[in-house]
Amino acid sequence: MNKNNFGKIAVFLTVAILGFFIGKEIAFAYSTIHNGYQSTPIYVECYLNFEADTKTAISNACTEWNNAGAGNLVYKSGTEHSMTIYPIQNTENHITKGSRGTDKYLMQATNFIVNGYSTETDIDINVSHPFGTAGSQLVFDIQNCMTHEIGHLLGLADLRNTILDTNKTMYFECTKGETKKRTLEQDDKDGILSLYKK
Amino acid sequence: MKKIISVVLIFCISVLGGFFCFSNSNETAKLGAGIEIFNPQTTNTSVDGATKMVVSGSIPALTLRDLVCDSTIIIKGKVNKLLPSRWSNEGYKKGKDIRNVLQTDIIIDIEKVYKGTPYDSKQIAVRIDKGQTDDMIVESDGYPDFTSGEDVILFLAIDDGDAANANENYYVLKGMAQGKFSLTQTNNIYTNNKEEIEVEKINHIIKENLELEKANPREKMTKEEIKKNNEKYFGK
Ligand SMILES: [Zn+2]
Repeated sequence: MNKNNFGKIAVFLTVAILGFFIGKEIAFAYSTIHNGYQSTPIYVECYLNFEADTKTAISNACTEWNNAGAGNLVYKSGTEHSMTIYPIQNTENHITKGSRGTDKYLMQATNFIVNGYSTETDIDINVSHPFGTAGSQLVFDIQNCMTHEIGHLLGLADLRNTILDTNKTMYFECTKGETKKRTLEQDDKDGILSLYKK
Repeated sequence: MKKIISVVLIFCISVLGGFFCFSNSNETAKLGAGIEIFNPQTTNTSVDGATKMVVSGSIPALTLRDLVCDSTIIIKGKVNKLLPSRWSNEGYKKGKDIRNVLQTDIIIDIEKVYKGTPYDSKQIAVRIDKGQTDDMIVESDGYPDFTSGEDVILFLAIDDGDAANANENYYVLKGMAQGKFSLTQTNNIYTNNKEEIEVEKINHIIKENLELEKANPREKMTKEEIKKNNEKYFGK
């Protein structure tokens, strides 16, 4: 083989491999924390003092994931709890609140993982930040943030690409007034299908 | 010309190849997951059968102006060391039926102070809510990682949360990971993966943003207003 041909093959291979991986990155835009729950549906219990609008927002967030094509995965339970201790490992999936601080998560989900599977998830609403339900530009939308957290509960991880991921429910940052996380993007659905589609 | 066309053609075909290999059908999505996303070695790690806690959540997006105006102090420094992780409770032990937050203090040697007056002019602690003990790993992607010897510019605030310890001197990162700027490959340019700061320009950036804020303040609720607002949704 002469030198010229070798050069051509090298260029061909480099371009082909590079292209393949770029294509893979574009196609594949979800990420997971754990392998899901081994049995579904999951029931999340609200803190009993939450107002009706908040409970509706939580219920709507669950419904959005149940409509993703992987079956009924998560419901707001009729049972409520009175605990503001977070997180607390007690086999129940609690949603609670607390003044966790200005420089802490807006909302967060703690997954207790055993052998790769989630056994319990507690969700916390950090009331050091302002929340609301009407998409006001001064507050963070409860359903918007909660849809994101339910995604964590089910096993999806945050997405951080500041160009490709910003419209997805699992994008890690939120702005005041934002409601786009209420609606799942195809990548959010693909993620949940990869975990739960039998 | 021919050569360029063929290189472009190969590139496009490969991108499409990569795309279709890893998209749509669940089978291939799972195949992809096996390679890149699921990493059983890390996902399944538990210390001696103990549970691993993975904390994830959403973070309020902060602009450079938010960082500048809302930070108590802004410094440039070097990571000295990471202290052993401790629980946020009395005696730094994990308690039963109480709130348990695993925290790690990062010791920073201060080289320059750009805003505010730190509690110590030479060395400070920065507290993040993740870490590892003998029997527990707490992961939390909202907080950045630190390594000894690392050059950083930090936007810091006073901890105003329910796990704050008023008896200790330390800061928290303004906006979590957004408050840590690491040195890039280019000398004197630091980034928090969203914004870039040139060291020579930081004093100017701070001055400019503080002046903007003074002339035209951002609309924000006070802590009392936030409390009142939130009671309408989450109860007292
Ligand atoms: Zn998140």
